[in-house]
Amino acid sequence: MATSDKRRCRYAELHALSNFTFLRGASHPEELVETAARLGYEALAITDECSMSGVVRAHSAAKECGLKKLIIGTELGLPSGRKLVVLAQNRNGYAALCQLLTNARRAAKKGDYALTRAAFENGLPDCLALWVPDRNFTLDVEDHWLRETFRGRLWIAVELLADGRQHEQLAKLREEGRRLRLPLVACGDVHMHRRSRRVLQDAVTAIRLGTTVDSAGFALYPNGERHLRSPEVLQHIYPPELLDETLRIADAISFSLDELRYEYPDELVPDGETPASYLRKLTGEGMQRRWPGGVPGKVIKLVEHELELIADLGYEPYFLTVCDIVAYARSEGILCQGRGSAANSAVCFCLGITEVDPGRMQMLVERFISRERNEPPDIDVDFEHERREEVIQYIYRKYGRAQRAARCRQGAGSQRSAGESPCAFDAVVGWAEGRRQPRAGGRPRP
Amino acid sequence: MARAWKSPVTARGKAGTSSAAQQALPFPEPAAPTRTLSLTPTPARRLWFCIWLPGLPLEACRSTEGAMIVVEEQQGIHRVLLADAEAQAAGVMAGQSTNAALALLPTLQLEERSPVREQQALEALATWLERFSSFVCIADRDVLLLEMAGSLRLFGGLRQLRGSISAGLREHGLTASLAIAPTPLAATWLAKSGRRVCIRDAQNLHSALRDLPLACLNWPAGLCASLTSMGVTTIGDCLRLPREGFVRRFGAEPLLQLDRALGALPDPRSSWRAPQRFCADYEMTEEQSDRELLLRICEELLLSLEQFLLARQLGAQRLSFSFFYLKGPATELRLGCARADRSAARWLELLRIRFERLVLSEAVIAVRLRSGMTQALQAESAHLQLQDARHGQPRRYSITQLGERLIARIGDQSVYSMHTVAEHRPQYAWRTQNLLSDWASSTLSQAGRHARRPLWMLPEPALLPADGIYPLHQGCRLRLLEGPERLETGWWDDDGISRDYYTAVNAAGIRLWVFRSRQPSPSWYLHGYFG
Repeated sequence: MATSDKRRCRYAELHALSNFTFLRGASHPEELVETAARLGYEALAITDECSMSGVVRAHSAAKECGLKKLIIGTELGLPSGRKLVVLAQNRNGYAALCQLLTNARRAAKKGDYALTRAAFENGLPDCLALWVPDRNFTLDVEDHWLRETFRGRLWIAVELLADGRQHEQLAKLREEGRRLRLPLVACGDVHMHRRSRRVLQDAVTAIRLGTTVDSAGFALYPNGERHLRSPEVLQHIYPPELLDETLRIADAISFSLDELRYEYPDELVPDGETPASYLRKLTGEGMQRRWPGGVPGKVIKLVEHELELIADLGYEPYFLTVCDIVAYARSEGILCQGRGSAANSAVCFCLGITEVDPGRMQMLVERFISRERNEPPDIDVDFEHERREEVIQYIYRKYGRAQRAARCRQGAGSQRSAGESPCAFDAVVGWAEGRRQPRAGGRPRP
Repeated sequence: MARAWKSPVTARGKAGTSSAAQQALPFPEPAAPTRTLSLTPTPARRLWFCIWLPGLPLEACRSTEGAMIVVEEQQGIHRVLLADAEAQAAGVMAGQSTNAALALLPTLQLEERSPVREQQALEALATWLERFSSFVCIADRDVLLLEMAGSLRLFGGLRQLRGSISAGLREHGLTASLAIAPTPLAATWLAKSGRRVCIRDAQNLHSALRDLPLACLNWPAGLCASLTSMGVTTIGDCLRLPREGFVRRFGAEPLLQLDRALGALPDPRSSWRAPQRFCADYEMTEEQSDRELLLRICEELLLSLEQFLLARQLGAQRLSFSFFYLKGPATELRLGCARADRSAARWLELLRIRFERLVLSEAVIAVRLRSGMTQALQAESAHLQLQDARHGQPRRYSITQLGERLIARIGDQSVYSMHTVAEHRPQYAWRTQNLLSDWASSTLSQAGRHARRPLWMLPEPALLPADGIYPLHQGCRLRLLEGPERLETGWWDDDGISRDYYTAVNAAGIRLWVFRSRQPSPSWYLHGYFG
């Protein structure tokens, strides 16, 4: 009986906050994903408030524990006080959504975001929207605007959370749905992966409000219903058509973070060249420069081996980027010097990034780049500290402040090495599409 | 939801005799707690109270005793529009020429009909009626409508309400014909027919309207004449005619009116809103210079101001009196008050002081009272009347005075007021507060927001017996109306709760607040009674 029940009620949660929505969400994205997979959810959407920060972790966890589908979305507070959940339908929609978030974040002070109607002018193509009405919603021009913006892609999210007025709320929303001709869909306003996390949820709420739990009053949720409820429980709470609608929405979404790669700027490579051929060309030129009297056979073999590795792992644009930055510094007469594990690379020597002659040294290429590690190489370059800012400004100019893919880490590093090397600048770090990644490490993210 | 459930029960309880009605109350089987509760709300019932004032042209003008008529010019000749009882006794009738009337009764007073005064009288009445209903509507130059389905409970039922309104009309010196019906048009027509009827059920409308003559309908005279010539004299006759033919001959409007009257079509009305500033005139028949008399007139105006402000929960901070003379500019007297007030007695006190020194250049013919901007005035608790044992005199105590006296007698540790607290747990959602510090700080927290809480809560939840999964109260299964409202909070102290609350109704129709504890073996508790 139990198993047949399980098979019958299927559900996809489309509104869930992880702890990357600071001081609101109380569970890690991994916890949410694992719980959803265990409960047999058809899909789980991670919809942190104006943020994509939790999705990478959720993505990895989803692969690991076999969650059927992970949906990427975000919760947005509109200036009118409406709450909207926007889900990316495909790659294109994800890009539009990221652009929207970047603009919204940049328009406000750090930690906050500001949305205007103008931000939605392009209609957020390939995104689905769920409007989460608050309890005392009133209908006005905003609804008309929302309907126009998301024509045919807008749902009313029905979140029944055992507040004692569920029937009233459902009836009211059904009526509004009929009137506005909008379909209704069940959502859970998930803030935690299981009920017992309520304690932490209350605590972070109190921290957010700068008060204590016992004086937070109605700011706390009255119960722990905002967790991932099992589909068997949900079928007693929601009418079946609302649960089915979640599946329809989940089916309309076909996007996975696997589709993403960092897109390097096209200008890195001249017309008629591929990144691989251009890197080979530059390396060849460098070899001629380093050994005008003839290249040692050992070096040629080393370079060939490295280029092969780089081509296999697809890191050419990364090398070209570093090469470009170093070339700029040289042209401006800014002192710079590659260091660390990159000194084991013959290619880096040929490109002029490092100064360790592979002809005279025993190189340990695998320390720098290896197939087994499946991790991008780390090229550290030190710049003359007094003119470092010029290099940074060049990077901003060339790669754009808006899509500032390269992030400069200057804090702890420069202090640590203040004595030995006054000009520490870890050149190239985390990539993301349209927006900064959280500080996940100083490496490009393919 | 609660309303929809409540009203049929009260209606039944009032209509039937006690025991029979009790048994007739429909109580379906208790629903399983997890099942979706299907409550279909009954459509909002409306009840229209119509006041028709046939004598308004006369009564709006009356200022002195004695036989009187109101005349109106028709085709160049002044004819009698209305005659009062005394004039009628002398043989004066509506439609007579003025000369004929004067010949019958030479002492007759003549008044030209004044639509302005009629409108003023009507608005004054509408303002007064606003205390009975939030929806007052001036439907015609002599018809007022009140929607009073929502007022019945507050004013103790239909009979009481009609009594109060009739008494008020008499006080205003107005003769009126009253009728009650579920649609505004039906109420109007019934009032105009002069039948004192009260129809509460839309099903009875047809039979009540059937016999009304067409004259009540305010239809064009030509239409009535054609219908009468066809032998159609009542509404019932009209309804018997084939609709298509009727529309072809007389247009759709008359039939649409009939449909609205019978409730087949909606008949939206716009509510009349009294102006928020007060302005009233008192005109005298002859010039007066008696200052005592003028003061009495001012008092009368202040009393009507008080009524006006009371009906709107408003107070005024500034007033201005204007004393008009037959010639020359009026004399102004402005009064101001530190705090917005509406008490006529207080204003009169202020006026007396100023009035003594006021110089009136001539005899006064009219007085006008205008209020400045009005502002919302917090209603105050009524005073408690207590018999003083020593003096034997009843004394009135305001809540403040009473509190002070009680504290003086039994100490401030023993006198408390109650406050709501922003807290989900019901047992902590209120607290007592020291009366003195309470008045000093007066920090009222926001009350229970969206949650429905009973007025009377038990100090401790009482365990209810259960029949399987259903709770029992006084031996009968409870019917669950609303819920669950899940409360699981308070983990930070030792008094955390985890409960599912429901609104339930028992066999006697009393609404209870019950909960089921969320434990491995759940049990039911009663926690309060709704009012």
